[in-house]
Amino acid sequence: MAEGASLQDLEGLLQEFFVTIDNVKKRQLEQQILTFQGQCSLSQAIFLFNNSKNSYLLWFACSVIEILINKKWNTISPQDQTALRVFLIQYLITNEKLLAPFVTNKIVRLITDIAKIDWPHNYPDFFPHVYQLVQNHGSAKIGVSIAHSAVTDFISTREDMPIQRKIQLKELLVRELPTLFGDLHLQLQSLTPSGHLNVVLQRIVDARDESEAQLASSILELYSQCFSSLPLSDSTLHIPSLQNILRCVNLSNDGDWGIAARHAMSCINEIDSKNFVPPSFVPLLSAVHQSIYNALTGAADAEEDYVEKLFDYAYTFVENQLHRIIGKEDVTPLLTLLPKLVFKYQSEGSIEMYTKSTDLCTCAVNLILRNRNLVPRYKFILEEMAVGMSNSLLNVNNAKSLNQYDNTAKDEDGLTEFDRLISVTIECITRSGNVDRPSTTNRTVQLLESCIHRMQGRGPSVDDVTTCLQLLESQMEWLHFTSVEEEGVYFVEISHKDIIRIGMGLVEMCLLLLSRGLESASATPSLQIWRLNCKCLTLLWKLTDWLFEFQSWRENATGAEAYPQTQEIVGKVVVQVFSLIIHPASSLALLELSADILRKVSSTFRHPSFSQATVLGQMISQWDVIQKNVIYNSSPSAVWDVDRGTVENDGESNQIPRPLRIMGTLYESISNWICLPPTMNKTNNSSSQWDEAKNQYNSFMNAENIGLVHRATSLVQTPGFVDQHIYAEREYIERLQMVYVCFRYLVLSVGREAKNCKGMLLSSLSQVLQYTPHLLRLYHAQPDLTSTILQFYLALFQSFKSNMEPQFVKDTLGMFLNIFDNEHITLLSSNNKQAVQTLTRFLEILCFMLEDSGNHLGDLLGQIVELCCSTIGPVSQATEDLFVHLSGILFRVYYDLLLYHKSVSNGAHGSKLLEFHYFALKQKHIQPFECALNNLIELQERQKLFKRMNESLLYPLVTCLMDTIIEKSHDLQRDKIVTLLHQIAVTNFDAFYRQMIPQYLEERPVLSAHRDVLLNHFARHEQDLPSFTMQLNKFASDAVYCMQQR
Amino acid sequence: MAAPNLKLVLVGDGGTGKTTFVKRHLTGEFEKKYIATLGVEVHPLGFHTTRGPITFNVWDTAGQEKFGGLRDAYYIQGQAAIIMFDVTARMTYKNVPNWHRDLVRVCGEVPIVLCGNKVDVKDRKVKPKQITFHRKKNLQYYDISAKSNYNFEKPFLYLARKLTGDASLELVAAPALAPSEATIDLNEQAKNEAIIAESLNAPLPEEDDDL
Repeated sequence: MAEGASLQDLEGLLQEFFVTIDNVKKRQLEQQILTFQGQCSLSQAIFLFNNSKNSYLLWFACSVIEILINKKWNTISPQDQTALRVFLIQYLITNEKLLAPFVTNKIVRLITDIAKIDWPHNYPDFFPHVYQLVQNHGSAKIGVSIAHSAVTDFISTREDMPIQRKIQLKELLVRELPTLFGDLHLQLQSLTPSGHLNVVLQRIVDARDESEAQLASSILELYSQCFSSLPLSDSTLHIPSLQNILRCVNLSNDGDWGIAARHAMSCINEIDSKNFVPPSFVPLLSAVHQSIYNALTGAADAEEDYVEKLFDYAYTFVENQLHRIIGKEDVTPLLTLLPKLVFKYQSEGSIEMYTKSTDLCTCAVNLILRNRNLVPRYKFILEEMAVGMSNSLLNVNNAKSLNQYDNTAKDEDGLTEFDRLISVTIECITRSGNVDRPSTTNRTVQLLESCIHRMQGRGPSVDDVTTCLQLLESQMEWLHFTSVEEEGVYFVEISHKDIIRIGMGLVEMCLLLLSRGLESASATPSLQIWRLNCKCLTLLWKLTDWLFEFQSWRENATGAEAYPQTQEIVGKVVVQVFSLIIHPASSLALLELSADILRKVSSTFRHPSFSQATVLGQMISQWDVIQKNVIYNSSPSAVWDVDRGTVENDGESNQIPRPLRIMGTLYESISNWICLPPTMNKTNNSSSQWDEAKNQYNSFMNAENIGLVHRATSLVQTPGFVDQHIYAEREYIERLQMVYVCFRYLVLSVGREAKNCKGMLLSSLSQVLQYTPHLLRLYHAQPDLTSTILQFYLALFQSFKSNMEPQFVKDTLGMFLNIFDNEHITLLSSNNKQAVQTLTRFLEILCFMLEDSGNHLGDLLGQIVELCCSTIGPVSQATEDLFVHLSGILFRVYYDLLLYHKSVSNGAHGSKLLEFHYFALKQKHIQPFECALNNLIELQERQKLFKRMNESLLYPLVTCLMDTIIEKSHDLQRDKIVTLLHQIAVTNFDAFYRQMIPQYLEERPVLSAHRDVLLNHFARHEQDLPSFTMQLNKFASDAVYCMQQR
Repeated sequence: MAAPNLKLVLVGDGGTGKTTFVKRHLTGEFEKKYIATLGVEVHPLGFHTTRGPITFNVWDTAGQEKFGGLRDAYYIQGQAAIIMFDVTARMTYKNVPNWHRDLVRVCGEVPIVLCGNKVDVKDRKVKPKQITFHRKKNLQYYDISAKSNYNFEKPFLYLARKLTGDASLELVAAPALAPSEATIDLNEQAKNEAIIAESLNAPLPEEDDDL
């Protein structure tokens, strides 16, 4: 290259290249520059450095050296290598102030490029040289720049550097950090004023040297880069250094000092973002953040950019570091400032700032709520947050902004910023436990109203409704404990109206969700959609439950009538739920919930305008579909089996299979509707409407519409008695069981209703009743089914008492007595559990028969007594366990026999039955003992039983009771025992004192030795109960003493 | 008064869509073919703003090193920059810090916009939550799609505001564009934007561990 001319050419080329925007021309120029670059040697590049001040040319020289370093470094002799790096550093020091920044940076890069290849072996004094530069105030900027470039490039991911070398460089770099940070600290300290750590938004612009500001800025930027790329440790960064850095956030707002302050902020942010922060740093960080919050809550007219940055840093700290210290240290002063932030930015500043303040609060609140132990400690913070955030949500002036806020994009969970804000506010309210304040109630109500209003506007989501329900429930809990007197009529009344409106609003939202869910499920069925539907339905279930509970509570508490609007909403619920029941893909969980809702609605709400009548008609006409749905969805292969969610079950549902329960519930719902007479208000309806409604109701009550009974009957008789195999099928047995459970519900629901309903149902059931005995015989070895059928019979007898023909009752009883013969009962007793279940049901029926239609039983009574005395009694007495479990119902039967049937109590069977009582009185188990004792007391009181008994029958009873008293075997029952003894004595005091007591003492060898002493207690023949009791107690006490002495 | 001419440097890995993005603005067409840029191509892009016309001389640089030409020389006197990466290719995001470093070394503290291109593609590899680099370096970030025109003017608007110092500046006449080639799922995109907003507050990863 002819140096003079070519230099000019090159300068011209570069000049033109950077100016022209003609791409063709530019490409040509570039090509020429590249040609120059290819031809240029190291010495020519150095010539350029020494002879030109043109930035483009200097850059060109740098690019030539860059290629040399990165591609041909090994081709250069070590002496030249050393000479080059010395030259570059020297050149920088000499010309730094004259060079364009991009040239300076390029030269710095060249130096670090060399170090990247040679350090530490071939360039051992790289870092010592850097330290030297940093320590010297005049060259500190260059030193910092080289160090910065080294930190950045040594751990850069892009360069074609072997991974081993990268690791080596990083390790070596970390070792250099303490020295580097030490030097930086000293330099920074000399540049910045000392003082307290305090962030202020309005800072005094420092009038010192601009170059000093730039140097401080570079140092802080280097710190920031190091914190970002390298691990933190208190052995590399000492606390005074950190203090110094943190103090720099106070530097200035403007100019180069402002940039330095921002870099100091970046340092804080980098430290806050670290997964590991040395514990010794934490107090300093807390202090600086406290200072940041103070600044945020204090300043009125700070620059928005700066405030925004402060918010970002504050958020990073809260999210990343606060959870590490919140449990260990008291961060109350810091947290107390958070609600203040919301207050401030709610009224001042832009929506963005308000968002940031609420985000910060949300993050802190979530942190507290996630840890149960923290909730009591920071409860007051939650309270303040609840007040602050709900106030801000309800602030009318803020409404417009909040709408914008609400229109923000949704996150992964489909929630907007507004959703999150509401959610966290509600959490604050419910978790801080201050729902019991009237002001909170009013605020909550308003909040809920605004939520519903919002949902109406933009459509609800499951989360929306769930969150609102949560809040509503928290409020309800409190309302349950508040009486009208305590809080004043006005306040409670207002709240009730509001609350019922909100409850219904939520139901509406739920219904909307469900209808949408159903549409989606039909269009694109998926498990997810059904899960969502199930979630909605669970919500609806809870809501309707809540609504009904609230209604009844309100009625009890205030005597007020139900709100008429609820009728309308209930109608809608029924329609929606029904569409779920008949949906072919409805899961078992959905069916279960739907059935529960229908039952609840049908039993709670009467239908004033027969809005549910249509649904009822549809249910009956589509009964087959419903039945198929239940059966199909109960199979293990059911596609859409989704979880039901957290809905409480009653005890019964755990014992009955789910499909069975669903069908039963549906039967019950239908029968509720059929049988509950409508509570129509004549004054509100015109007479024509009334008549129409009445006709409609009657048409439902005709036999044709109770077709479900016929359908169920057909199920009972379908297999006929032909195929024995079908009978043995488990599935068939379960279906039968299901049918009988349904029948039971049906029958029970009619029990409360008018005679004509009962008659109609009974005639519908006639066929069923005709077939059932056969089934009972056929399945007598199936305890579950037998038990269900017996329960059905019991319900039947209870509900139809007066409607039943005596002959039917007699026939049925006869049938039972045939089935439950000696042989069968003995067989049953081999399995205690089954025996208890089946015999209990059977004895319940017997009880009912004996109590209700005893006089019509005729010769069957003898059979019953015989069965009890010869079979059930002895069989149960033979097994202790069985006896204990059956004693309750068994002694009720004995009682009924002895009380209602004189022929029994006066005859031989009576003595037999009393013997059973005596036997029970000797048992160690309290249950049979108590049953027998109560029976005897009752019988004596109602029938003067003992008067009809001679002494030979009474004496064994006296001995039993005296033994019990002396042995203290059932001491808790002593009062009753004494009462019974007194009742016996009353029949004949003379015989009691002169014969029975002496005879008793005579027969007890233990007591006979003290006979005279003990008899002294009975010297006076006490007749009144108190004296008799005292006398007997004294005797018992002495008798016990005698026995112990013995 | 003549419209101010501002030098804007467009950098990023090869194939991220820099040239397509510029051409979309220039001609309104969506270039489906990939032809690697050699060295640099400068395109003046004019915009009408509430403060009058403004022209960005966009230096569309080669992403591939082998076609790099004078490389960082292109950045000299750059007044603004756009760093582009492809949200469907993780490596292109990993290299963003390097592009940024090179830019800052030459241009100093100029306004820079980070753009994640190709957000119309369903199988996005760089998730919004992972994009945090802009927070560390105080950059503006936009999800964009040259194919669907999504957010296509946003980077220029931001830069114009920064360079003029007028935060309320608006573009007054949208450049004529050919109809969108791809449809973008706005709901999906809205979600992503929320995540980006959220990621503003997410903790910063180590610089060498962005992904």
